Amino acid sequence: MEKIPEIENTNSYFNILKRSSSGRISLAIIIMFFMVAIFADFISNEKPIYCVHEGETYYPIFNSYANGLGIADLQHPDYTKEWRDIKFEKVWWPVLPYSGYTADLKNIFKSPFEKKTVIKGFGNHPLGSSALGKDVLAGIVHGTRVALLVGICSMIIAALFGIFFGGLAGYFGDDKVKISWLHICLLMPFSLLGSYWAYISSYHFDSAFLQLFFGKSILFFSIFFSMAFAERLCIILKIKKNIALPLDLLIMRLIEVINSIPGLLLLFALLAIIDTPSVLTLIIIIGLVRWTSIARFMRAEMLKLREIAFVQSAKVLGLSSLRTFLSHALPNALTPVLITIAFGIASAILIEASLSFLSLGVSDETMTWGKMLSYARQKPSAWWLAIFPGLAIFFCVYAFNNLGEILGQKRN
Amino acid sequence: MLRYILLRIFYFIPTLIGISLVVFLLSSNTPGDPIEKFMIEDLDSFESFESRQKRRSEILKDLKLDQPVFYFGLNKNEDGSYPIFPNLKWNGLKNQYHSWFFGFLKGDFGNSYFDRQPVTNRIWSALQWTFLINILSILLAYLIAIPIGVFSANKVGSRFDKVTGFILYIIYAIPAFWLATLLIMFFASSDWLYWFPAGGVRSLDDGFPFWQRFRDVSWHLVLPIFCITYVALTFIARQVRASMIDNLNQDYIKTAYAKGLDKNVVLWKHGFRNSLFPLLTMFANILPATIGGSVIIEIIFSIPGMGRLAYEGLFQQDWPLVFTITMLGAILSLIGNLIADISYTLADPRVSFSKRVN
Repeated sequence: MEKIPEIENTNSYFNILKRSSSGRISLAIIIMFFMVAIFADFISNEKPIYCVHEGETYYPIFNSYANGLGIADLQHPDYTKEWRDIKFEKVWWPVLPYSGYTADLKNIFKSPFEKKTVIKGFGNHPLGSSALGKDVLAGIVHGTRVALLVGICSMIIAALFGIFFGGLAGYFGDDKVKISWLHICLLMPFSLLGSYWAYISSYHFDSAFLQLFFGKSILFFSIFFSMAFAERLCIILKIKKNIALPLDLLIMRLIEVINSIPGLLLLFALLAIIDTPSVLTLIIIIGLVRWTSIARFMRAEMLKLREIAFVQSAKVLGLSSLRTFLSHALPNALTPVLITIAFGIASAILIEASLSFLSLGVSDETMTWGKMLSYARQKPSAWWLAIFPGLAIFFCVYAFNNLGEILGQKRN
Repeated sequence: MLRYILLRIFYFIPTLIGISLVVFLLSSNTPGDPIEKFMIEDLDSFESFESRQKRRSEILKDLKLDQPVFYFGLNKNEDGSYPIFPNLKWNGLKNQYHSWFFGFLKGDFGNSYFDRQPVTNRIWSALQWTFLINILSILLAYLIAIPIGVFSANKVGSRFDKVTGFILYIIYAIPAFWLATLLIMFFASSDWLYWFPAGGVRSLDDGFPFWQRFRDVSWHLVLPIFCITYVALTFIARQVRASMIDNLNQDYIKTAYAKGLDKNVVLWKHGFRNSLFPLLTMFANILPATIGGSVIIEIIFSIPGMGRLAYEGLFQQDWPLVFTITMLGAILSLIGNLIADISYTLADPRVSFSKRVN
């Protein structure tokens, strides 16, 4: 057999980015932010990485990870003292021996160029310090983690919703899905009944997970049952007349409803019903608000794809429309959606920053870029509190926006 | 075309109802008990049980919470559990959703949970400020963006095109709240330059002559308007550029050049005039978007607009205020989209319904 020469795929997205200089810059910025986010605890931490105290060896950072997972108890050589006051025989400190929340009362509101009173060998607050002497650089390092976590996880949620709804609307349109009136007649009461049962069953379970799982499975089962029952009845009663389900119309109305409510006001309204805000709830809320732009893009992509030859030929070969949709149309629309996801990450990071700037959204212990910026409003002379976290937001947003821009340009 | 316009207006109704349902669902799930708050506030320790109950029902009636929540509800068993098969109960038209929604359409937004006064009083003055700063900012953004867009479209790829494109692109990535913080820090504080007031909209009261007050207010609005303008700038300039490039490639431009017309006449009279209309219809789309974006600017500069009101309502747990503003914002952008769509159809009747409806 003849060996087929491997063709280098010069149009892959990574190669497109590598070719332009601004693409390389944004890629470098993003990789740097990712590194900082992943190793945040080892870059800036009030605990040492490795230390020996009175002959015993400790790995405090790893120990706190293990404690977080529930494997080990928290170790501390001397509970009466702060970590940095303990005398160790041997010690490795992180580059920045402060966590985002570590107070340093000797250095309150110190600018980067001012002389600070620090123990010798310790970090010198290179980007200044805020109220209670919290280190700005440490805050930025730990804020990176929150920003990227919110940006990426909320976009994963948004992408799941957007790809699903946008794909359905674009591929099936207003006339492709045909079901009989019997299906609709049975589906409506059964799905309502299913949601009622799911609702009352939630009173019998204590854990939220069980409530959700059991409720959803009841709902799913009742819908499935009603559809199967309708299918049978249709054959028995010989009902052949079908009604087209206007999927596109319904989904686009839903998107219009969500898009009409101005973004920040919708977030305010959603945050109003949450008792204890955390990073997780923020991720879910942003994901639920931002899926519409991905859905619209996906829909437009699907409208193009469904006329293209390979999708048509899959249909001619006799594949069911659901199968054609799932295994031929959907995978081909996924890569272009990356463009909207890149823009979406930028806007999610911006939303997170503006919400925490308004002291909404995340709990008080979590250090974020927006929260550091809001400290600057309390003390206008402390310029370093405004400049550095703002620059972090700017570079992150710029890099992701640029990523989307370059990918979009090359596609056209 | 008439059919399209009628259909488009008809589509307005289900969307509006959808929005009202979403907003109402959120507002009926808010934490906290407003009645308890008021009961404690005017507590009289020697109060009899009957008068306490009476007071309670008065507050309930005042806040319109004495009615059932929705058109229908679920009946419970006697022991408080739910029956296996839903026992639906029809509540009729006297329910919270119905009176809230139709009251809203009439301009009655309910009573505040903060002071039990009608929300409407506070909303109208806030609406005026929000409209004022946003419309001024958009006009300013148009004034700056049009020359930039037209000249960069005139010579695509020229140095001017590249430089303005790059600057606009960088500006686009600057978060508005960061810029606002920096502006306040450096231009409105005694530590640096004290050129502008740091917040609020006026420092003179009504006793002063009109021109003095006018100068005072415009002095206060310079920084916030700057912050809103630059956000809209990139978007408008890009749209102007794209639509000009489209028009300048048309045959009639070549004809105009061939006739020997002056370059500037061709550019502005033939090219720009034809791309003007979509830009004007875009205004209806941009206004709701900037109002949404100006929320944070209003909060930072303490402008008594809608965004600041909603933010205050959030901390005071004044839910009727928060959800009225949410609903108003949504209706505003719905109307904006409607106007943009219809005027676009009037200008270009070739656009068919199926293309434009989504």
